[in-house]
Amino acid sequence: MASRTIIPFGPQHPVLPEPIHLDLVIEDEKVIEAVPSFGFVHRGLELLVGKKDFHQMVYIAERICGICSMIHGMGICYGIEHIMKIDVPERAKYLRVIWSEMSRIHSHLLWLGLAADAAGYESLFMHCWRIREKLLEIIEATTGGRVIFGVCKVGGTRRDIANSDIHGILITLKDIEKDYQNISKVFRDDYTINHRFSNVGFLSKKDAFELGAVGPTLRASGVSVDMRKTGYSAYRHLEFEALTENSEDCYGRCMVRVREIFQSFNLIYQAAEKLPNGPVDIKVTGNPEGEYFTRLEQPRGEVVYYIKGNGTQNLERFRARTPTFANIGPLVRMLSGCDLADVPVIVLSIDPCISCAER
Amino acid sequence: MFKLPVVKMLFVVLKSLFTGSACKMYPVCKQEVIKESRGFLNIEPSLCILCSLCSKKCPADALVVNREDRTWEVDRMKCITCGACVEACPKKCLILLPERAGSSIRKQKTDQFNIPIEKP
Ligand code: SF4
Ligand code: SF4
Repeated sequence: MASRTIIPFGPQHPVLPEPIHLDLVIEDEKVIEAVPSFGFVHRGLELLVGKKDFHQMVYIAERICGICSMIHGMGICYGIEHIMKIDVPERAKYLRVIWSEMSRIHSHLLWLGLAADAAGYESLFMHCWRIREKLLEIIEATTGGRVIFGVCKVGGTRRDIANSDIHGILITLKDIEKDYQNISKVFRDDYTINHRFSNVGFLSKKDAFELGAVGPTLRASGVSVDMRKTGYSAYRHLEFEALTENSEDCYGRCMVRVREIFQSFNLIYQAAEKLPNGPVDIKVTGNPEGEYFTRLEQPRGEVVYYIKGNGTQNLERFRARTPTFANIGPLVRMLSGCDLADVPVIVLSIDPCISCAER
Repeated sequence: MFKLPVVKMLFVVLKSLFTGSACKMYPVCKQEVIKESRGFLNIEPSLCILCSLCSKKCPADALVVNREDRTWEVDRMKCITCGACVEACPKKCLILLPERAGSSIRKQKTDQFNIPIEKP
């Protein structure tokens, strides 16, 4: 009879520089059970709300994660605006959508690069990041930061994109999309990618739903849930569908992301076309009093904010449940029964961001 | 079955073979600065009235304004170049330049500016 061994895995992860630790219970080459543990990069965000006022908290919330910074900033602004009953100008809503979708594209491209690398496809990895670089330049030219956008503020956005610039941005985006099209074909059909990701990290539709998976992890199991469909910001005026795959494995998760990039390009085009004229922010006076739950869709999945204000400058409570945290349960389920050699790919397939999860 | 997909990657590779390198030879070719970038906080000391609004708004506590000594100080390692101080300043004497702050091996790298006394 094979004896059981425990292999400690992480916090130095072989694929992603993310500090998660897994105790893998191994029998032969099979993982019987995985026990995750966190807490290596905890930053105590929830205590900070007592020290910083709510305008400053937007900057801090943006720095929860370097990749979804735009949507983190937008989440807290959206919550506070709801509590204070601020009507954000339409133009600001569209700009927020444009920047959110740019951040989704660059997050997914980053992930695709890492996935290619995990499959041993170094050149594909470089190509993904080369394309991403062009997008980062657009982001820097419009917001002032490469990854930390810093454009969201309570009451609107801090910067505007001039109507005359939008045309040029769209042309560059179309170029990027064309470039990406060639690469997406490789992900779709390539033998190596197929071989590495197919039938690995199986998560059934029922499990995904019951364990509360979010984002591409959930949609790859065939559950059509996308928070953008709730119509926050300007999403209610744009046409799109939640993309799902039915393969329920790592390949499905990869495909959802590959297709979502095209969808994001499309959303940017739509938003740029409908972009109304007008101001981008309004003056905010007073302090928030009340509470609100915000649910937004980040590149990695659904993020939930709980914001409670007590009429002072400082919020009373601020809590963020990030997508990676929700995906840990499903990850543990995927890991049980898999081969040891598949563990890095499976961990990667949920697009983990542990610094997000620990805030 | 997998003959065609190999051609697909080959297409990408061949294309990049003829379009040249995507990377720049860094020290030889200087990196272009994007002028909208938020990079380096600078002050025009002659305009400053030492009102401390900037240091109150700073989320990173990077600014120290001292009225007695007439100094304005920024800790470059703490500054997250968010621009909150630039927005708050009533005299518009702060600006975020697109260039990045220089590197440092010290944990603290403060730049102190002496604010000249206003001429009557
Ligand atoms: S840019 Fe932001 S972090 Fe830097 S000094 Fe100004 S307010 Fe503080
Ligand atoms: S807000 Fe402007 S004027 Fe006031 S202390 Fe700061 S830099 Fe000087």
